[in-house]
Amino acid sequence: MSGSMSPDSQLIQYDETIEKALNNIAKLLKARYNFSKRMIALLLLQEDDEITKMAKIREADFPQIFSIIQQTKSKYKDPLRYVITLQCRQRSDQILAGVITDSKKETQLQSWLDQISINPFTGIPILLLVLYFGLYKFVGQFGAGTLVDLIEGNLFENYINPWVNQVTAKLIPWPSIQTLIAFDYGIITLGLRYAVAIILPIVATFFLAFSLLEDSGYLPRLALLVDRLFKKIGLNGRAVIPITLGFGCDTMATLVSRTLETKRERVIATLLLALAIPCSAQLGVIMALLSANPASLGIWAGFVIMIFLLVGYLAAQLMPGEKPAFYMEMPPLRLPKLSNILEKTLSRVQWYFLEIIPFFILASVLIWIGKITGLFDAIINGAAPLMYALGLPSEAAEVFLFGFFRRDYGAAGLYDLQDSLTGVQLVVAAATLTLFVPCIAQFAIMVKERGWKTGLAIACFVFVIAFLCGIILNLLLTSLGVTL
Amino acid sequence: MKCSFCGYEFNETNTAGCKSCPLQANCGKIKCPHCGFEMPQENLLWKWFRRRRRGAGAGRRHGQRKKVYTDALPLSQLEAGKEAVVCYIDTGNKSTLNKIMALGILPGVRVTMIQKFPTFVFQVGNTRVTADEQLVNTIMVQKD
Repeated sequence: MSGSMSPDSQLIQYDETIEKALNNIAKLLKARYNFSKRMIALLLLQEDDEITKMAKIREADFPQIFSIIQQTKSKYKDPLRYVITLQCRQRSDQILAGVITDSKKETQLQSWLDQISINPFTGIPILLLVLYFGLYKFVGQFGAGTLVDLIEGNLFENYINPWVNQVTAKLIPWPSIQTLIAFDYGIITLGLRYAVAIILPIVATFFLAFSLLEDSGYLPRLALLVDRLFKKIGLNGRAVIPITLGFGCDTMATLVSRTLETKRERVIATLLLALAIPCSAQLGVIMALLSANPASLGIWAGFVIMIFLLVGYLAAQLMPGEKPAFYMEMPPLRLPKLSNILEKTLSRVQWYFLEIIPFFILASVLIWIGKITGLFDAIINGAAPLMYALGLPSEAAEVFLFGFFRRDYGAAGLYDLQDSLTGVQLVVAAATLTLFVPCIAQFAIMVKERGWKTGLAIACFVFVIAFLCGIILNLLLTSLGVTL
Repeated sequence: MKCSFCGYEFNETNTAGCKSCPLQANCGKIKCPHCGFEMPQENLLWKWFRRRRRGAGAGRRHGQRKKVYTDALPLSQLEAGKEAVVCYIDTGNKSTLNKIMALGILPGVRVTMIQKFPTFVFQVGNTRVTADEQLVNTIMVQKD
C-alpha cells in the first residue's frame, strides 16, 4: 500500500460477516505483532498455520477468537481462505480495470519457440539436445574432464600435494598424524583437493548451465514434458531438477531434493539418486572403461535405466503418503541476462561449498581411522566372497571400498584391473559401482537431509540392491554365454 | 456435513481420520477429521428432511452458490484452443484448493486451453500454467 493515501482508504472492504468477524477478532488481540491487527485477524480467519500457532501461545483470549473463526466458517460453504481470496480478486479487478489496457507483446519468433518447446513431437528432441549439450558436453566433458584435469592433474598433483607432503614430513614427527594431514588420504591432500579440484569445476559448470536454463524459462517446459514419466516413478515433473542435477553431483542433488513438496517425493528422489543416477565422476570413469566396446556400454546403460524405472515404479506403488501433484507457472521464454547468471552461479557455488566441505574433511578423517586401525583390510578380506559372487577377482573389493570414500581412487583401481578383467566382468563391475552409493559425502547428506532412520535405511537398501543386481547381471551374462 | 460433537463442518468424502483403519471401506460410520468423533452415516430419510429444512432458511446463509451450473465441465475436457470461464473449484481438499488459488485460478476468470498432452498447458489471464490431470479435473468451467 502506498504512503500517499491514508491507509484506511486503501483497505479492502469484505462482506458484512467477514468485516464483523475481523473487527471482533482485532478487538480481542492483545499481544503486539509486526503487522496491523486487521492483518493478523485476516490471517487467523484464513487459518494460516504459522499465525494461528503464534496466536495460540500469545493470546489469552484465544478460545474466544477460535469460536469467532468457527462461527464465521460455519456461515460459508467454501473455506474462508477461498471466500476472502475471491473478494480480494474482485476488488483488484475493479482497480485494474481503470488503469490497465491489454496488449499482446509477444513476437512471432517467441511464440514459435514457445510452441515447439512444449509440443511433445518437437519438444522431446529439443529436450534431448539441451541435455546433451548442456549436461553431457559442457558439464560432463568440459567441466568434469578438461577443467578437472587442469586443476587436479596439474595444480594439485604437481605443485600443491608434493609441497604439502614435504612440509608435513618435515614439521610433524609422528607418521600417523602425518597421514592425517597429507599423503594419500590426508585432510589437505584428499579432502580439500577433492572439494577444490574435482567438485568445484563440476559444480561451477553445472550451476552455470543450470542458471542459464532457469533464466531462459526452459525448466518448467522440461518439467511438463517429463511429468507423465515421472508420475510413474512416484515423482512429479518438478523432480526433473534434482534428478538432472544428479548427473552433475548426486550429493548436491540430494541437497536440492529438499525443494520437493511432499516427504514421500523427497524420499523417493533420494533413493533413486543414491541408487541409479551416476554422477559425473562415475560417468567419466565408466565411459572411459566401456566406450571401447559399444555393446558393453549399451548393456550397462540399458541395465541401469531398467533398474531406475523398476525401483522407481515399485517405490511409487509401495510408499505410503499423498500422490504427487504437478502444477507450475510457465514464464515466457526470455533471453537470460549474463550478470544475473554469473551472480546466481557464484552464490550457489558458495552455498554449496560451505555445506559440503565439512563432509569431505570428515571423509578423510574416516579413511585415516580405517587405515590405521586395520578396519579396511578386514572389510576387504570379508568382501571377497561377495566379489566372487559377482564373478570378480577379490582385488575388486578394494575398488568398491575406496570408491566409496574417494571415487577417483576407486576408478583408478579399476583401470589397473582393466587388463586382467574380461568384458563381462567390466560391465558387471561398472553396473554395480553405478548402483552403489556413490560416495561418503552423499551418504552424509542423505543422513543430514532425511534423518538417521531414513538415511540409513536407504543406504542399506541401495547396498543390498546394488550387489544383488550385480550378481543377477553376472549370472545372466555368463549363462547366456555373452562375450564382450 | 457438520460434526455433531464439535460442530466442525467437513466433506463426507474426507476420510482423513480413517486412513489407518483396516475396516474403513464399509463401517457405516463417519469420523470427524477435526475431533475424531465417530457418527453413524446419515440415512436417506434424514438427509431429505435436512435438505428441506435448509431450503426454507437458505436466504440466511452467505456464500451459497446462487447460480446452478448445469453445463459446467472439468477443464480437462476443454479442447485445445478453446476458451471458457471458470465456474467453481470442485475439491474437498484444502491444500489442492490453496494451490489452485495461488495460481490465480478463481471463478470468473477466463481460461484458454493451449495443449493437453503430455501435460495440460493453459492460459489464465496473463499467466500460463501447466498442471497435471488430477488438478485440472477439479477446475470446473463453462464454455460461452
